[in-house]
Amino acid sequence: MAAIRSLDHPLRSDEDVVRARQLARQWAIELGFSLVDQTKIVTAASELARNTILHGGGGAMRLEMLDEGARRGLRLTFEDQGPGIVDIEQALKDGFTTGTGLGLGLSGSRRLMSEFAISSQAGLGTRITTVRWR
Amino acid sequence: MGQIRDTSATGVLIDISALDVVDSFIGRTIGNIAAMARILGAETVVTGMRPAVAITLVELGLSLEGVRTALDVQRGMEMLQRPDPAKGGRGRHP
Repeated sequence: MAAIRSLDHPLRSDEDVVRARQLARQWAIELGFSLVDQTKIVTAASELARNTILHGGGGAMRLEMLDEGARRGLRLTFEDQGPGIVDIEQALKDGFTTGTGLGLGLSGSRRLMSEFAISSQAGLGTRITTVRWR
Repeated sequence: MGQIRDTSATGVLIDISALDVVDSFIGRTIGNIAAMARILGAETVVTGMRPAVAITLVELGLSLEGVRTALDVQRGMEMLQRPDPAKGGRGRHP
């Protein structure tokens, strides 16, 4: 799957989350996503960017414009070198939280995007890859 | 919250028409404000939610329970002046 453009954005502070939302919005607009789809993508980006900071101790978001010929999409990848997710299935349940949040970040983001994959190793970090096709 | 006490307010109106995204963090903040206001005897109405935000919130799984919503500020104010039928609330009668 060819990425026609990509960008890495660091995630360390609240300002970085704001910037991540802005970047996701810009790229979604450029790809021609509808307003509702833009909002879903930006909301998912916001949830996952905040998770990267809160649970992963910071990391990065990679944006990629995908072109498969018949369809185009936006891939967002969130990576951290934090403690990792021990039980991914449990982490994906609505309402499950290790912190003070609502436990909707992961499960909700998965519903907002077309594709969603987590790879995580205890002690090594977490990578979450999401795609929204249009 | 001090303002609710000082003015004996019975209603809190939060207008979010300027927000193009509401994630679970903002949603939780709104829910917390509503919960605190309720304990102080005031009801909270959220107004001006954009349709795309509403659609996204439902899919995200955020229901904003215990928070009433209205299309715009005027309707929100009208709502606060009527008692909440669901709770037999204590809003002021006009």
